[in-house]
Amino acid sequence: MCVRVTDMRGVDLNIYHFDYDLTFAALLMNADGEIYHTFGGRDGHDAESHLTIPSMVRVLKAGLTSHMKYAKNPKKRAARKPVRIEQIFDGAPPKKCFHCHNVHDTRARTAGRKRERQHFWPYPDPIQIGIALDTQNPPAITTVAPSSSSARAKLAPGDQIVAANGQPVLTFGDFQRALHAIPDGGGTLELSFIRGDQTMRARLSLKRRWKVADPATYAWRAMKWNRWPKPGFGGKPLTVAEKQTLGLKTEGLAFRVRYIVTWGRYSKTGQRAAAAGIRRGDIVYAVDGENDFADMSHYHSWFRLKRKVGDVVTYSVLRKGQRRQVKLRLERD
Amino acid sequence: MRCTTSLLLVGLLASASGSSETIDWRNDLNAARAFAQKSGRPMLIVFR
Repeated sequence: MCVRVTDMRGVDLNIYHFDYDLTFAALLMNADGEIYHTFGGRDGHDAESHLTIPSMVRVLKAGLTSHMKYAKNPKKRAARKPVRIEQIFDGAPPKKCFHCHNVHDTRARTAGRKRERQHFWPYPDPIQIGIALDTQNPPAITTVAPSSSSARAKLAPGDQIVAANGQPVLTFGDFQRALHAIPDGGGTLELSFIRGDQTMRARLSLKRRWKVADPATYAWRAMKWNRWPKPGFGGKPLTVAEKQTLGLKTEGLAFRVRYIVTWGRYSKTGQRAAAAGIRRGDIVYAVDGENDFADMSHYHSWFRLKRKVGDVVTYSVLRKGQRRQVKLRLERD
Repeated sequence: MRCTTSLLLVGLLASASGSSETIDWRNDLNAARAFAQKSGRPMLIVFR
């Protein structure tokens, strides 16, 4: 049976859980709530990087096999009270629909400051344990970072991961689901993998804060927008030709301020930026001397992960041919 | 996840089904689950 969901209202988040920030995700599961496989996942650059037709075909076939096995030995699952996005959303409900990406950031925002951290790092990219995976089924390791937990466990390129902490792994999404279940406070990851014609095991020790991603890896996530601190303004990157014309370095990011946030729940952030001296039309060519950002998403991700409330940041700004520094203290409403 | 995301991916599913027939997509998840419970069928749920 095929179901297509484009509105998260009414969806029980205790049953249908996946990486809600993705632009596309599929669950193969049964009516008892047993998820056989998750199909989805992406890298930092391409929303469809882990979606291929051959991969999908293999997952569909495997899902049917799993379902037949399950039917012979169904599991008893304890009933859990449903949790729905419309129950936990803390703002004015959208008029048309709740998007999937509303889920992670709503959970983080409504968890309270002590608990919000555990919601900030959902469905970690395998790069957090030092490996990159391809789109095969089961996924194969393409690279292992030196000195990473995976390197210490002696994982190697070509190893195909078939199980993680006892859960079958057929897809990139399955593997992320296993990672998601391990707390950011640290834990153990038991892997089964195929190397050559042998099935082997490895045990990885994941240290406290192992989920904390770098800004580039985190940049694609919609949930970054609700993290603090916020700059209160943004804009459009300049082209290389525009930077040359203005006498700026062609490498790195420079952007023209197109908007100052003067609306909605975060309007105070824009008011503070304006009070500090930021104007629409300004060209921002560095922040605290940094401009090594691939795009605006990377910049906004860096801002939220590398700066904290209470910091004073210094913007290097070009306005009407004059270079100036604008200092902005970051506050949280 | 935005509702307007590429239709290409749903096309991908149609291809993956190995059939040129149009997939009978349901939109009511709770009703679909109740039907799956009754019929014993597995569910493919696409969020997009």
